[in-house]
Amino acid sequence: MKKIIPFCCLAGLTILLTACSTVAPWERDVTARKSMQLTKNANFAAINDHIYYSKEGSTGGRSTDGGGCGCN
Amino acid sequence: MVGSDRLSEVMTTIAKPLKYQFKAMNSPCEVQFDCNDAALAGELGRLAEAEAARIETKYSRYKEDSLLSRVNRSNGRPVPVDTEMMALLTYADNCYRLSEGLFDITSGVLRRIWRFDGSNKVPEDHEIAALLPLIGWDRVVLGPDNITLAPGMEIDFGGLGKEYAVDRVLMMLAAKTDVRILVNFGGDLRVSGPRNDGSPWRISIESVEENRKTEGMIAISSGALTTSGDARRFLLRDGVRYGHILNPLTGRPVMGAPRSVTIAAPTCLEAGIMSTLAMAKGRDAEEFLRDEKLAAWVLR
Amino acid sequence: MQLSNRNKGRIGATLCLVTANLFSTTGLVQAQEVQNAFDEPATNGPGNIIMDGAVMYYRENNSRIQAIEPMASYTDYADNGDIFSIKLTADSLSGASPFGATPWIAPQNFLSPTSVTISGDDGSTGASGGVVVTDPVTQMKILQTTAKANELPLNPGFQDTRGAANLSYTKALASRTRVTFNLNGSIERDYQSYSGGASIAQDFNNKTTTISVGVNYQHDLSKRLYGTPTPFAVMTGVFTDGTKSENIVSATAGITQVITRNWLVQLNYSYERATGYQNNPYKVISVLDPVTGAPQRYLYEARPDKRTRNAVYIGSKLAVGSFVTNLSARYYHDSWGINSITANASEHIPIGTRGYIEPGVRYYHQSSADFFNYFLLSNAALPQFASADNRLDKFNAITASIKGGYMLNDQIELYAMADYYSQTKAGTKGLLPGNNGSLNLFAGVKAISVMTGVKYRF
Repeated sequence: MKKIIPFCCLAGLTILLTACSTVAPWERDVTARKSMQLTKNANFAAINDHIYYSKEGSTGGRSTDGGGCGCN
Repeated sequence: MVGSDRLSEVMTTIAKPLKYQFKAMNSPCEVQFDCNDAALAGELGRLAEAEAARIETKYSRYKEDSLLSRVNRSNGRPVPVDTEMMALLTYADNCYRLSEGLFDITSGVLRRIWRFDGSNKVPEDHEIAALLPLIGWDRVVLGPDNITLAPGMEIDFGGLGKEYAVDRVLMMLAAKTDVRILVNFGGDLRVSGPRNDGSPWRISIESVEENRKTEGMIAISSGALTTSGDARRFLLRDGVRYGHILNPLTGRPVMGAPRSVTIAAPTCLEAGIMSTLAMAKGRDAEEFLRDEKLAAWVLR
Repeated sequence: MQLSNRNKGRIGATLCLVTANLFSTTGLVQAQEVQNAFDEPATNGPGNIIMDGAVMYYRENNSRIQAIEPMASYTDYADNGDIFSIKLTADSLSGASPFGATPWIAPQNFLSPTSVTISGDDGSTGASGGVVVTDPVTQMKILQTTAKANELPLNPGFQDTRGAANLSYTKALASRTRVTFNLNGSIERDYQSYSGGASIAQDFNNKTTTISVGVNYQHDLSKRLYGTPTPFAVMTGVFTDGTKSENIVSATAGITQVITRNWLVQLNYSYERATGYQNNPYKVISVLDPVTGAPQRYLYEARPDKRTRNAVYIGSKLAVGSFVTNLSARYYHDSWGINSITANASEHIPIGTRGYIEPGVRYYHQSSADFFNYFLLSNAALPQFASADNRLDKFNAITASIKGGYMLNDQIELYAMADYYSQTKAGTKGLLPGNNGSLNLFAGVKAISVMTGVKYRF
């Protein structure tokens, strides 16, 4: 049951998102900016992921890019 | 729709800028440099000429082995195109949708029946009706990296090729030098900034009347200027004058179009597309220009 | 010819955008007024090579862990859309770390095997703090460490250096389809991890929608120094078990959607299944007298050998002028009973024409694992699994961070980041039996980290 709720939310949101897209191709200029990139700085993201992986019990959500360490 | 066929003459003030002149795209072309360095002017002028030639070779309807001609000969098969041509086709697609069909690069086939030579030979209704199924950008299939035209259809970049060339040449040269330049290809022009002393470049607009040489001067410090005009290309029959701006949706000339529309805009492409659109609005040209808040001069 | 009302008066503005788009696609950037360097288009497109180097320093409170981590990467964006990237990281850790034992009102002695060979006999100082004694029965060398009264016992003199490499290759199959392969390896003295994965990304709707799906396989090898203890073995003695391994298979699916010209949203789901050795071979759990709370013995922890994880993530980026508001949330659930919620907010603020500053805050809350306990009682039967590892405890964590970047010129970007991270106990405080309410059992951490680096594009 606990697994189904997130699934449904994800599926529902996905359909909602793609359905309400009214962005014309020439309107992609803002999302092309440096400041709007999903990984503006790869090292910031990597360091944070590393710290939280070693100090907390949760992982995942963003990418499967692997590489564990013994900080278990 | 076809573009301007008149040259706006650039009048200069005190020190004359250096000029590099050549012929391209069936028009007299020039690049003016506000400096004394003849070597630099020559080097950059040659770059401009080369870029204009590159664009012409690739996109000219008149060259048999151009990429555009290959597309026009494809007879219904998909033709792969590169990044630049795909970007231009996408641009044409955007303009088609923005203008609600008035700007349509497949409308060139109408030239087969409409010859604006001042005579009275107006095509018959059935001739126009026969061509209409071959016109319509919505019939073109644009894939991720290819284009498919139905057999009998043709595209041409007459409404954007020269303007694109002016913009490209100006941006390329402006990236290489701080010297103030003016690029003018057959009346479609753009400047990189005011002249060295801060004064604007002075452009004279050719008159539509027989007995006047010029209609006046425009001072331009930045951006581009294009003119769409009607003066010498028309048909006259039964007292009705048919201007040469054709409506792709009907296959017929736009009635009540101004004799000439000159528009200033940041880029030559924008100026060119907007002046084409203004002409296509016929009697509503001034209202259209007012709504769009454009710097424009209309002659009727 | 009537104008439709929808476009009335707006054709010129849209044409301006369309024209700018044409020029940027064909490689010429308009020399127009850009308010801030970070408003310019990102340079992660064909024809760029980016080299990036940075160093991070991390430090926990109370003389716990300190780490320094340099990293360097090289990424080549080929003209045909392919991307090749390599990244090398090293980290050097030192300091002390809690190992699961609870504090006590008197000093506690912990014994663990050591392979230090010294000429002297009893009373010699071990290599990493503590005293080396010889077991009179087995004649084995044993390291004895002592934890002070009323303090959380820490594993002293912990030192480790790790090196890692990541390789990634993206192939553009078509203008809207990309497939990426990646390989990773991480090696330290007592642990190795290797992984490989592949993912595919597809653009739709004129590239305003991107869907990506990926899988990853990871194989970990744990080679505890001095042998791997059997779960629930008493803390001392020599262990003969050698290398233990773990296999992790994971999959993610995500969608990125441009909702309006200024607003980008991302949704991801990830799934992971780990089988194999998942204990921390250095961690113990204290067995206490149920009446007085006095420690009787220490047993090595025991965790299940299977773990399934699920996470859902949503992120949003909204541009207002040159400012960008970033929000994200993640919900996580795993088969060990840990549920967590993470929420992140930060604001990208342009500074002058070349820089930005980005303050941010992160809130995290996790529930404890089903088998988590601060201690076991000596009069109770051993449960199937037990661990006192604070990573499995129920706690909240807050991070306050500030990031910044500065474009020195068109090609060089300087950047830096500083974080303050603090974990606090959530839910009922752990309490030792007997009259020991003053002892704090929560082993959560407070840490600062700072990083600085430079990115060079040519």
